[in-house]
Amino acid sequence: MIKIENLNKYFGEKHVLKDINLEIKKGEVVALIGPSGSGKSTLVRCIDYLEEPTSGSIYIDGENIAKAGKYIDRIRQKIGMVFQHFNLFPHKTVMENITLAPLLTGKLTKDEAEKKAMELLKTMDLLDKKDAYPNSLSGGQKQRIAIARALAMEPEIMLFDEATSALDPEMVGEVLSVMKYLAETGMTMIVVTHEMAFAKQVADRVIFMADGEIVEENSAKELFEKPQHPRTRDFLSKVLQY
Amino acid sequence: MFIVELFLEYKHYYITGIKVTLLLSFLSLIAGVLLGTFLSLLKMSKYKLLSSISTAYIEVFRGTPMMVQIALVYFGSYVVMGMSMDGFLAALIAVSLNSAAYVAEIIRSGIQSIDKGQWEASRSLGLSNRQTMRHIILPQAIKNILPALGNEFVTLIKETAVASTIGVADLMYASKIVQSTSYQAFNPLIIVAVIYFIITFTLSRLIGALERRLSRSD
Repeated sequence: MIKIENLNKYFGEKHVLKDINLEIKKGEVVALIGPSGSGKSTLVRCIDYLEEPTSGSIYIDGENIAKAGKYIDRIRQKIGMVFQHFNLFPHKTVMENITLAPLLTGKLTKDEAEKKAMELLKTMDLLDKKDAYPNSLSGGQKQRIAIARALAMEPEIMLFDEATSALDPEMVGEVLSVMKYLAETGMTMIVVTHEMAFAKQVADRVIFMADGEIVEENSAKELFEKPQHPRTRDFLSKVLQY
Repeated sequence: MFIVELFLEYKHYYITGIKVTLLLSFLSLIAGVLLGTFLSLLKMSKYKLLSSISTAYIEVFRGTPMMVQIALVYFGSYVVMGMSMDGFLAALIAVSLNSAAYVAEIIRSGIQSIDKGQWEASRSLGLSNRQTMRHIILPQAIKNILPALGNEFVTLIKETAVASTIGVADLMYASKIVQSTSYQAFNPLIIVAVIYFIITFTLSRLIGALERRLSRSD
């Protein structure tokens, strides 16, 4: 479903992604872990073409996104992205946030889009917030709305870029449960996270990145219990210390 | 009381002047917004040549006095067309060209003040550049842009006073006429200063109210 070949990304002189090769199958849940600045976020941002790769190719369903040109919008419609800082549209209500993209892209009619939004809000347990503006919501609520907004486009892939890092601790759980639920429905997911317990429990595969490279990848159980690489062991011993 | 009498005696000059000043400022602002919008789009273009052209324009018009610009257009018309241009038209052209440079920066900074995350969220949903601009960025940017355009209008009302130097019968020109007909140098200027102040002060208050209203939904 996603295939990444020899992906390199530079920010000026800085080499942030070094020759990444990665393949992700349909329905797979992949957790990307690693220290800050290791390139995890840049990698998922490249998959949605929010960052332009310096070299290498990314294929979504066999389509090379760098060669998509104006069809990039159509490819992006297959990919949902959830951001650390939610990025809800503050001038639109919750309902409008969710229905905007399906309506503008012509994917759904107004009635269908609203029906879809109501279903999603019900899943997120936020039906009562449909006419609220984002600024009146808590962080956890905002992030659940952001997930609903992405799901309204019925994407095949969901990317989570540190979706819980900006949340107060007591709100992390509500967002993780939604993500877990999504994983159980068979959604293909790439999750950049610092929540090791979540990665261990939900991910089919865990990828450890450091300094722009994939250092080690394995099933969640294997990677957490028997890390092979000293860099992985060092990182895990630090984050799992307490 | 003497000043009030002086004003009443010559009030038709002042009233005509107010009309001309407001008309010149308003038309220049409209033209400035049209040209300025275009310049701001050029400036934000990913093509270096286009953005350099816009930057050069903005720098030149902001870096030279409006009085010089007005004179250049007015006297330039002799050189280019071989005939004189109507003073009002010359002032309108010069002030519009000048205002466009400021408006371009107002619009650009209004658009660029919107968090990059808004672009990314919208594009990641599969919306095009144009749809994102129209439905996500501009509705938010307009809250910053509108009050700033109001302030630009206030600035124009004051700055168009230099149009009197090429004989445009604006408010400042009215005070010159009153000076010469009443043989008074000082009092006509006091009157004109008070009128300018009343206009700009009222407008500033209105803009302040607009700004508070726009920010209420934040």
